[in-house]
Amino acid sequence: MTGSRIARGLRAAALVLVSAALLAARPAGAAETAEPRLKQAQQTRQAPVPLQPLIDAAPEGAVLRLEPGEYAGPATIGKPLAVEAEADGAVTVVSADARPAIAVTAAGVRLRGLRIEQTGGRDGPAVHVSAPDAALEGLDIKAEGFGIRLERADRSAVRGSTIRSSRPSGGRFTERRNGIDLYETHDAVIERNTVASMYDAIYIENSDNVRIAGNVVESSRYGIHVMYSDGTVITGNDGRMNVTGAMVMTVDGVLLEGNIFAKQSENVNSQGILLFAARNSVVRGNVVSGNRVGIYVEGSTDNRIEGNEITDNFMGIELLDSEGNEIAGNQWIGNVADAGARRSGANRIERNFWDSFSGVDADGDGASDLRYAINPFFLSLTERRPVFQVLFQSPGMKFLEGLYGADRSGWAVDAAPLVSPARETDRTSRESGSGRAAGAAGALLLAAACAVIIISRRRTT
Amino acid sequence: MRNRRLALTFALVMAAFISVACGGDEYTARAVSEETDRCATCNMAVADDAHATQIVTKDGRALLFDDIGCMYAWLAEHGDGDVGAAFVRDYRGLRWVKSEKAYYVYDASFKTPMAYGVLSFADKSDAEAFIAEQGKGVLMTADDLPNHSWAVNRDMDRAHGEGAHEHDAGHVGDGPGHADDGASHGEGHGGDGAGEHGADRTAGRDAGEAYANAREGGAAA
Repeated sequence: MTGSRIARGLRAAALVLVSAALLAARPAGAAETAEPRLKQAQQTRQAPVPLQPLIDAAPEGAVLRLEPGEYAGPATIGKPLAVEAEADGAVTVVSADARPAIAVTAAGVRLRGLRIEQTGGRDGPAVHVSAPDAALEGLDIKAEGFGIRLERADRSAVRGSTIRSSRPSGGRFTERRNGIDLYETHDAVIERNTVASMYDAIYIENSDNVRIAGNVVESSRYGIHVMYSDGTVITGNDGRMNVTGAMVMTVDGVLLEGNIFAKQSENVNSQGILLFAARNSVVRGNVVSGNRVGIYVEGSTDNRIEGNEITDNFMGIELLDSEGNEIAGNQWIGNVADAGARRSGANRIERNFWDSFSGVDADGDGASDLRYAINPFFLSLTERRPVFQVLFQSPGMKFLEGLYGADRSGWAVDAAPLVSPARETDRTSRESGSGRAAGAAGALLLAAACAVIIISRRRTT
Repeated sequence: MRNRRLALTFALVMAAFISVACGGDEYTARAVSEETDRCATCNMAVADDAHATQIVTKDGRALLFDDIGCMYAWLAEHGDGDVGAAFVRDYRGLRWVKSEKAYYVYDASFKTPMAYGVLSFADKSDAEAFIAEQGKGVLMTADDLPNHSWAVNRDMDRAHGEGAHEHDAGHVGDGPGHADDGASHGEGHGGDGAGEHGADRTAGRDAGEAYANAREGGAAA
């Protein structure tokens, strides 16, 4: 323990020395501006440079560019200021304090390119913002607790940042905290971040019109968790190996579009997308693949679920106490069971493709003239007796389902299921495009190699 | 000799009979399994923390909830006909307490998993100390809970904003009254499980309506 600490100290000292040498070798003009801070770095070679005095010394509205090296938090930024790393990733702010490593209390603060290591316990976030219009870009955060917390920080943005828990993998999720956590922060933007191994990777509560786009969220409890927030836009995110990819609860007017939620299957309660008490929301063009339940909808009304690809899940979609929803143009392929529905009769379900359903299309309009009805028997049974889940898809269960299939009023029914899939199917990753590019590059290389061989042969002969 | 043996047997049988007859209320709370437990109302994973609550049904099933508000939403929907016992946890020590014996502190700003803002304590003194420490919060007993508005903090905000104050007015006005109730009901309360359930049941429905209203209000706003 102490040995490694000493080693770390030595390494840090070496880094400072190296950076000092590098700076000294640079042209005079550049060295001059860096000199005062460099001096400080030299004075405290053993310990990281305290960050707070540098912030205090910087004039309001200035850009504070930090030399490569280690700096000590906690620090509070109480005036408009931009704090930037001279080179991305070369500046590390360390803090072993229970307070946030960096606290932002003034509007319009910018942080850029910093690495932040917060080791002061689980309750202090690495970065805490409690003022509007903050911009956090390219941060690389390792935290015991929360990564970034935004409270009443309207219009703030978190972009291109990486957040992961410093706790060893495994263990209980409750020992972790949320990666990016918003509370009463409206009109915020969370874009192109990577969040892994946290409690909820991205959590927003009481925050309206937040845009969550192009993030990668993985190995956390919930990838994206939305509570009591309206107008959230969740688009182009990748969620993998979370307990649930997107947990969308008590919302109005949310758009979930073009996301991929794959392999949410390790936990017995896993699902790709869960809607609970959602209204007037749209779930469109997502890929949910390899999850325990693809899309789980409970107590939700007046939503549209359309054009999604629901593949290779245990259960494709589960509907509970949900009415007035439109479910159209989706395709179910390779799921163990397509759908379960209970107390969800009054939905408009049509023109979906269900690969396990054999329809008859007599009039040739592409849709079956037979309806596809979803038997609620299994769900009703396991709701009361969860242990009966071991009988999932067993022949006896199929028999009983048939036996209790006489009264079909109140069942969820696809009125006109498609007889063939509407689109190509395999889209479980976004890499298909780059794969094609790689293929082209490979072919080019091969051609070049052939050319070299042929030419060299000709020369030898 | 024979008499004595007979007497002994009789005594044993009586002892067994009495222990069975009087030990009727044998519902116990089980530990939370974070891997597998999900809230019976909202589907969220149940964390093994002070907010977890559970209902043990008369046939021995345990229903877990991640927030006491979810438990009352469940009671409002299903009634408590099947409920053997309901448990909450002591905010300080995490031990399970029968819900009717616990004390509760509510403030809209307290953070709980589903934002109902109600915390539970085994001891009244701890609850009072917590209110003093936080400088906010209303003390309630189990009797007050069915009449509690069960508004999540967002609903409160919206209701204020939109001027939909039916449940608000009730809630604010009821506050001090509840505290009095709590003081007088506190003692004569523990014993009669059956009667209490009957009374709670209708109250639970009322709470359910209040809950539904609150949700409607929130959604309309």
